[in-house]
Amino acid sequence: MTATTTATDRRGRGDRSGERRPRPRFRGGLGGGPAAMLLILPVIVLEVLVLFIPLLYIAYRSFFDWQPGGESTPNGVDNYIDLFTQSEFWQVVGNQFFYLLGLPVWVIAPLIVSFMLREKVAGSGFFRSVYFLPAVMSPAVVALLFRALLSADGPINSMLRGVGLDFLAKSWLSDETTVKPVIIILVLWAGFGTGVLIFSSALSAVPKHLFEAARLDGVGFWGEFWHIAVPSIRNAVVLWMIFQVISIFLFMFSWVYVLTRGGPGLSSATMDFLIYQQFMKFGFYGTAAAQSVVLVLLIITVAGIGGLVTRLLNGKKAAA
Amino acid sequence: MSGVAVSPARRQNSTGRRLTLRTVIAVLIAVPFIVPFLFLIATATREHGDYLDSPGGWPRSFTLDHIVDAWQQADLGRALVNTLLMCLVACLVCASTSLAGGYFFRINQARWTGPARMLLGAGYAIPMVAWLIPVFVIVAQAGWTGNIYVAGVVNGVSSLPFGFFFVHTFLKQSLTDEVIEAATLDGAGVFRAFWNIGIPMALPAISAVLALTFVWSFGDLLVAATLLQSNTDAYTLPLAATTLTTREDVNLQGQAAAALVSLLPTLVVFAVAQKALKQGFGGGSEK
Repeated sequence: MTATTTATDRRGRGDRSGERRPRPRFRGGLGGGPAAMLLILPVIVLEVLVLFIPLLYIAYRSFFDWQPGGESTPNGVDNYIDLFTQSEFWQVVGNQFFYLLGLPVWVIAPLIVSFMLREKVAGSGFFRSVYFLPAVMSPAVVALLFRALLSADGPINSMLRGVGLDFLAKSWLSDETTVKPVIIILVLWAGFGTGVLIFSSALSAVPKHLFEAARLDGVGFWGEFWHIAVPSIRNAVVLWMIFQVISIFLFMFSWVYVLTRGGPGLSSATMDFLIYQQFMKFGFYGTAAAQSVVLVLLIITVAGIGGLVTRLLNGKKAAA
Repeated sequence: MSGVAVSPARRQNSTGRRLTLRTVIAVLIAVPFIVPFLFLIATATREHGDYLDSPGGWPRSFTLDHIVDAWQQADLGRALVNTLLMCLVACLVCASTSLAGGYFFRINQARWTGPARMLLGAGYAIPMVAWLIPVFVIVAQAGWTGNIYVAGVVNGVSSLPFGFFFVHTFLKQSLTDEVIEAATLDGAGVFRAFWNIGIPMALPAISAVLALTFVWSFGDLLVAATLLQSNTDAYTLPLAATTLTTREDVNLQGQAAAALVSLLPTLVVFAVAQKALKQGFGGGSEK
């Protein structure tokens, strides 16, 4: 197939070199013809087999009393009705949005620090590396470490008692009021270095004269930050927001599983943890399937809202 | 005139002061990133009595007993080998297919490739826990649970949407139309061109994808806890380390030792991963 195409190609080229040759030849050469499909085939096959078909299959099975290996009977929307009438489920959806409250912090903290490190800091590269440490470490294992640090008689509490702040010492991870904020801070800790890295390299591409001009106009640190730095790296900021939102919906399993097992009660559980519990621990595959569908719909909704907000903001920018 | 003469000096002065202030802030921020790891090392390597006296205090003793114990109790040596094998498979699967896929989208700009690229990239946002359920069911029915290579392939595919997109973004900047054209005009087929220019040009991106796939597979708990749960011989480091917490015969220091052992190997790819993210994200978003 490959051989014949190239052969006729070459012959055709020789025959009528005078006419409309250059452009089609250029396009054909760049695209590589049908043979090039072999390059993309592995990606398509793997993603379709492992990601997309299972996703469709789970949507299909969410309308069954799904018993893998046994008899599965269709039960209409029973799984969904069960789900929506459970207060536990709504609690976890609520948790999910509570965690989203951390988004401004997760974005603004690395933004300010990367701007601060941009100049006049000796060894800024070293600091960026230190902040980046958590990025290469297993969330599950790091969560193990923090579980020890935050335990009732752990070092953080003994340090607080040591400096006479006894009233602040508490069992951070088994107290309903503190567990979610603590996890938000741990997510900040884990992602901070990556954020600083991304914003720093985006900032280094911003022309220096923009900042110099602003400085001559007497614009201060915050003025430079809000009016020059942030707008010039808006793409990187949006990208980082998307990554953080995705990770709060998709990649919280390790943290929750190790830190709290969703507890106390279900007050720190995320959707991915809940779904894992449903099918691995309790064997409710149908419910897990319905929950997965709801999770996917939630992600699509949040992505839609995000896209809409970005478009509105951009529109306002363009109008102004 | 005199005002102009004064102001540079004053600016110099305030610059100097801000330098120290900024550095002090940078140091303060570094504290929460260093102290937990110091605590981990100290807890894992001090004697039990010393630890009980003051868990968060300065260590006054040194022992490798906990590390040796944890190594034996949780079979960490085997877990390390398992994890490395799984990561190797994941890296091979992800890097080779990402390379070809990323190059394809670089050279092919037909009308359908844009949407196809977005769709395949959107695979990143499909919840792993959702697609993992059918995958687990199939793997279990085939009798492959507890197979480290299957877990490796699954981990590799989970990094794939990110991987090929990353390679494509990189090649879009580094590989010009002229170079591709020149390579193919010599009569080289698309595969020869891929081999001769595509792969060499994509090397930095591929090392990045390798580093990130390694980090993610090495740190993975969800795939391991689903596909490998049933077979303790196939446990990976994170799974072995987190399972220790449920055992009564292993104290906190043993857990700390296991955690320490599990964290160290990823430091090897630390520098590569950092450089990778820098060039992949920063550059990509600014073009």
